[in-house]
Amino acid sequence: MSRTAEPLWMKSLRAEAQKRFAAMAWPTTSEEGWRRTDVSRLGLDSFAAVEPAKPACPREGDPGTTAGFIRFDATRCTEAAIAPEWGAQGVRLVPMDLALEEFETQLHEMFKNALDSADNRFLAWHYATWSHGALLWVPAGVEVREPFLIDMDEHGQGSMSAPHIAVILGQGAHASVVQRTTSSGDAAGDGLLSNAVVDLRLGDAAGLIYHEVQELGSRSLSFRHTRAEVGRDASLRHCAAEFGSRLVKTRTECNLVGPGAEAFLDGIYYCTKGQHMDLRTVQNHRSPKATSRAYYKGAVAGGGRTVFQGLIEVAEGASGTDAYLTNRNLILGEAARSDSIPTLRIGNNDVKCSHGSTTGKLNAEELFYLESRGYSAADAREMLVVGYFEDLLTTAPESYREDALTSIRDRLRGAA
Amino acid sequence: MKAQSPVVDPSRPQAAGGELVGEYQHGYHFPDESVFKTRRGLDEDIVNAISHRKGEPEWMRQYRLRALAAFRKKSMPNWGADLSALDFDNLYYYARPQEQQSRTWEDVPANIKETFERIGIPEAERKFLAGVGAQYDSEMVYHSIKEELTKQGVIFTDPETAVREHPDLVKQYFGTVIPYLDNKFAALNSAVWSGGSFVYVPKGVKVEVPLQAYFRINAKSFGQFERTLIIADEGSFVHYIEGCTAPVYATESLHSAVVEIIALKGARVRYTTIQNWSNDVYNLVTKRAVAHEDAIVEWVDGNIGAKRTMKYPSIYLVGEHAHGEVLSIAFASKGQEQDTGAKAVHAASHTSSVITAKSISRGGGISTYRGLLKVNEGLHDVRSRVVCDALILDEHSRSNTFPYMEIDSDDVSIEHEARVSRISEEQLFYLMSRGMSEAEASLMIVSGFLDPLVKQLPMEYAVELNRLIELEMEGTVG
Repeated sequence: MSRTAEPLWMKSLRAEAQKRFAAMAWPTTSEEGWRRTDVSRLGLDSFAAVEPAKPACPREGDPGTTAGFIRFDATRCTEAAIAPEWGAQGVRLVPMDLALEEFETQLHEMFKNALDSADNRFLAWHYATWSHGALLWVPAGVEVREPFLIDMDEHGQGSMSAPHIAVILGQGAHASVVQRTTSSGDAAGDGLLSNAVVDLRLGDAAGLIYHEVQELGSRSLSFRHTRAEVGRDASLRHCAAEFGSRLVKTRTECNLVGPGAEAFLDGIYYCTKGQHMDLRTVQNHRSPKATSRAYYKGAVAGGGRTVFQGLIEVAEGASGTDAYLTNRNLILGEAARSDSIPTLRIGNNDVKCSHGSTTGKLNAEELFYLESRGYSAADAREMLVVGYFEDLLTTAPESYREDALTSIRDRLRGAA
Repeated sequence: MKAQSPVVDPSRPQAAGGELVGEYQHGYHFPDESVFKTRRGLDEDIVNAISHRKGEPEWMRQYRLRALAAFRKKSMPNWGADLSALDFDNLYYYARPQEQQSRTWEDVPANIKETFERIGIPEAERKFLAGVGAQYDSEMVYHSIKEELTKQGVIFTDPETAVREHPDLVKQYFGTVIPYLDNKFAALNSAVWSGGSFVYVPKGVKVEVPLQAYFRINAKSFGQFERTLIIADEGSFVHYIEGCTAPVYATESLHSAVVEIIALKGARVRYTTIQNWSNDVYNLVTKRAVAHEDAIVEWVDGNIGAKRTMKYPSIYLVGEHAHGEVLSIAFASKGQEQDTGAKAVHAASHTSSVITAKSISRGGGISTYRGLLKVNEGLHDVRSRVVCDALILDEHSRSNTFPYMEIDSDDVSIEHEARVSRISEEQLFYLMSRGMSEAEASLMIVSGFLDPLVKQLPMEYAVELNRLIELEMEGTVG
């Protein structure tokens, strides 16, 4: 949207973020969270923020079997749709410029406290320059059955794109979202720097299933911060699938702010030669009797490097916490590196917290068995790798599962 | 700033009575009768004075000075336990209790003897221990080696003697496992080290009884910097036990040891520590072993005392078929931070490691497991398992787990799990329904939790550890 049309509070919020951005330095490898990802040689200062598109009403689309969708071509929202059944009940899926008019109070509050917790230069940069995005709004009590789709085609060689997605679920509201981030114009140039924020707010007893697939081009740099606040007895299932970009640095942070809240953070990642993926999850228990599970599974091919850093943090008053964190890594080739750092910070004794981590290669006996049954080595390998990821895909919405499987197969074949 | 003041503390000798605090079990001490003591703070003059006092060769003095330069350049760790109250300028770096090293028990001064008597060394000696390297302040005051060990060619002495009598062995191995550039505290130790143990076990020799050294701090604001070097030649075996207990002082002491172990082809070394410094001691120790082909290194590391502990016994598996094991126990009570763990670095194929860590936090104490498992590039058949178990006994205590795993090879099998829990209501209820008080039931559960470590200890250590746990558990319920 054109920034001149933005409300005054957003202008001053951007100015405040800009001030913080100027005062902060880029994170260095002396900071624990960035120790394994060196951003000093990326030439970050040379990426200029993309120009927001001129406001234009997106084309009205046909929702088909979805509850609604929204599509972006770079910063421009090209198409949006909402099924009449949900539109009539006040459900909205709109580009951020329209949302700022319609949901000004809610978004003001949301952006303000998000900026307050922005603890690194990428986030300050995002809030100063965020370029486009969407809001999904589901009013209290509305339970949407079909999934929503958010489709972002990011391009703009050598520039920094800062999409911002917000989801607000009222009390008892239910929704499911699949968000796909791709880049169609990645043939040449320095690639794109994506500096995205996804902000999920679940009211009491709300339920959200959110699937993200990152398929940016092989020259891109992908920085993403997904943060969620889960209210009393609310339930979040977040699934992240990371495939694209030469460098991926994400933080998926779930704050269990209401008693009885639950969160499941799932992740799959496939890292091929030349890629560096550094994924972080935070299960932040701030209320009693909350449950959380993080389950991240990755495969790393020869020449790839993955880092998984998970944290379960339990506040002093969060009694009755039940938290688990699992990381599995499948190493598929020589010169592959895979770091796994599942950590616990527990400030209370009434807890059940644990984590597990395994790292290994494909089982030679299983490969041999499949080959003895007539499968080629490549097919056998593919079956086993797909099987490895299967438990995180079977319950996923069709579109997400197909995207993920296609990406995995493409990468396996590319590597062979 | 203190360059003009004399190197030797002018206020010596002095009595340091009347400042006992707390209810520490071994918290008695005697007037400090150290004969030679450097002034507070650290500079080249102090290092030169220490080296001169020990009559060291020039190469060791130069080594100390290079280490001092590294100490100044290295920054404090920006992670781990809170060390903000540590003041390097306010510490003594060297004190020597007496002029001659005692060769027999009779030569040991009466007050030192009495101190040792209370912590049980003579009994241990009378029983079956091979040698006693008892440490009063920073040097050996008492040292005995059983005849047959000497006959076998085993060297068990203090490092000062080793520098004098076995310079070739010292030059070949000293500082090779932990170079002074490794970290700030290793640099500090390398500059001012004093006392410790030097062990050399010749090829094929199996030392059947554990070698034991007892360390004890007994000077106000005094830092102790032992240096231990253990070389197990091909096919040999040795078990070394280190126990610490210290009197309580009102000012804080720094203990910063360096322990280097070299297990050559087919050798096996086990190193057991029961650390029970009084609760004002900073215990910042670097311990590392290198395991060559077919060698086995085991660290058994129990941390009960100290105000702050940062200690991560490490094993570098550099030869094929080497195996490493670490069993780590931490007990963090009020005011304590036990930042402990283990490191296993696989640098050769067909190597394996097992790390088992157990911790208990109570009374607002913080226990942290911090570990590293690293598999270098291009290796095959590497197996490792890391298990961390934490028990939190009340709602004000904390437990952290930071297991780092860096895997750079594909032919590996790595497993890790960690659990944090409290004493379960069901277990307590069951035991109490059988007639136990809550305190007895809690103690029984905690003892059971620590049992895997206790089982690994020689009997008298197991007894001592059990008694310490009992003491620590007093007043936890109610």
